[in-house]
Amino acid sequence: MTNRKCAVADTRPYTEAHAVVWVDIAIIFERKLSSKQLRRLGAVFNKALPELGLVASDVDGHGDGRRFVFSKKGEDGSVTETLHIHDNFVHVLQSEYRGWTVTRDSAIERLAPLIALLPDAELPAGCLGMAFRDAFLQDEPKKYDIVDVFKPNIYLPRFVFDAGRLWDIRLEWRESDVPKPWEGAVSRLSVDAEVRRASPKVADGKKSGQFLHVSEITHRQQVMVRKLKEKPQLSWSVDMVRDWLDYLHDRNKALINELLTDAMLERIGLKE
Amino acid sequence: MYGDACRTNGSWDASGWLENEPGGENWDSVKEGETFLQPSASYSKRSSFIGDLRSKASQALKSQDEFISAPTEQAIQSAQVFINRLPEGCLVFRMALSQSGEINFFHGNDDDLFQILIDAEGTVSYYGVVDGKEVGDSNLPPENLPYTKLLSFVDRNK
Repeated sequence: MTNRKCAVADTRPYTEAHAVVWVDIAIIFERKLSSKQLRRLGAVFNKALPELGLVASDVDGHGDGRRFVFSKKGEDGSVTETLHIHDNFVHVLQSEYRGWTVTRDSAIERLAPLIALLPDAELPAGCLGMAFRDAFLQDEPKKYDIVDVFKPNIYLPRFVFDAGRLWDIRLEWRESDVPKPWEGAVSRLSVDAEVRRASPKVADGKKSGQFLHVSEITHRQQVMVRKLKEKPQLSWSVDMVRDWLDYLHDRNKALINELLTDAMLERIGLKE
Repeated sequence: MYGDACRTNGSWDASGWLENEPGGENWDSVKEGETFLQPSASYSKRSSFIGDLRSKASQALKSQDEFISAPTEQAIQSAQVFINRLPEGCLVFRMALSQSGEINFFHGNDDDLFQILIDAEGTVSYYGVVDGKEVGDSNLPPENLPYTKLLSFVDRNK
């Protein structure tokens, strides 16, 4: 182990108040959506989303009925949120984090037309998913020090604390001891430390194309039931989704509290 | 790549949505990869205000005495909710802490002002003149503030 610094040096959260790059909330079906189901959902969202500022940006994108995409842009032209329907899920990705309650309520508002349809046996949804991506940036990659962001914890093996600037970790764990009506949960954690170029859209006066060190945490979780036909107790509603998103959010918060230094937790408003 | 969420043999399948990465084949609008996306302008602005609020509150806590009170945790939380709920068009304002720990937000200028005040309990009061009419209320949770009235005020003053 090298000498450890206690204070947060120049490494900073993604924004001045939050580390969140995006939040992704998903309702996941038992099976891949058929073309008919995709078209049905596409029509439902095409009716409901424009008044919330999301417009179809890629309806039936490849002409093969594989997906629908709705997106919303901010005043600077950045895409701030998207709703995707494809494969076996509908999910809302928000890339402007506005605190948990606004983020949660906004996702539920967008998913509400689907939630209303879920008691329909033709759309069997058995999983709810949530993912957070957090990032911490060091403008001078040579100055990167892992302890500016992470403290020793149960998720990161000790060797990464001596691994230098570039490393990554992938973990996945499954739980069967989750509250009813769910029967199981899967969590996937990836942590990447790497050097990247800043995108052309540059905030905070940074030069376009500048190299920066990025520590990125992606935590995906989904709770699920199986053999849905035998589980009439899984009754989807807006209140049910809100409660379970709070549950998943609490789990994410506990994980982030375990990973980050106290100083960094304080900078992103999570220090108790 | 994208399997069913639950396999028929009963084991949990972690593929599908768990592997759905921005930048992959289904992501035209959010590209990542070798470059790193910067936050949107509105995200940066909101975060800057929240960072400033935390910093001011922390300073007030350090310097509080019998004459100066720092904002309470409820007031800080309400102020963050207020900032996060502001429409994108309302992200130009001044913020000030009073000696009694209230958090004040001012839209407009001294002659034409829309003021929001958050007290120690975290409840919100507001006053302004919108379309020639006085508007105001007090003791509201920040979620119930009439943000559309504030937006009308801001739009009128553009």
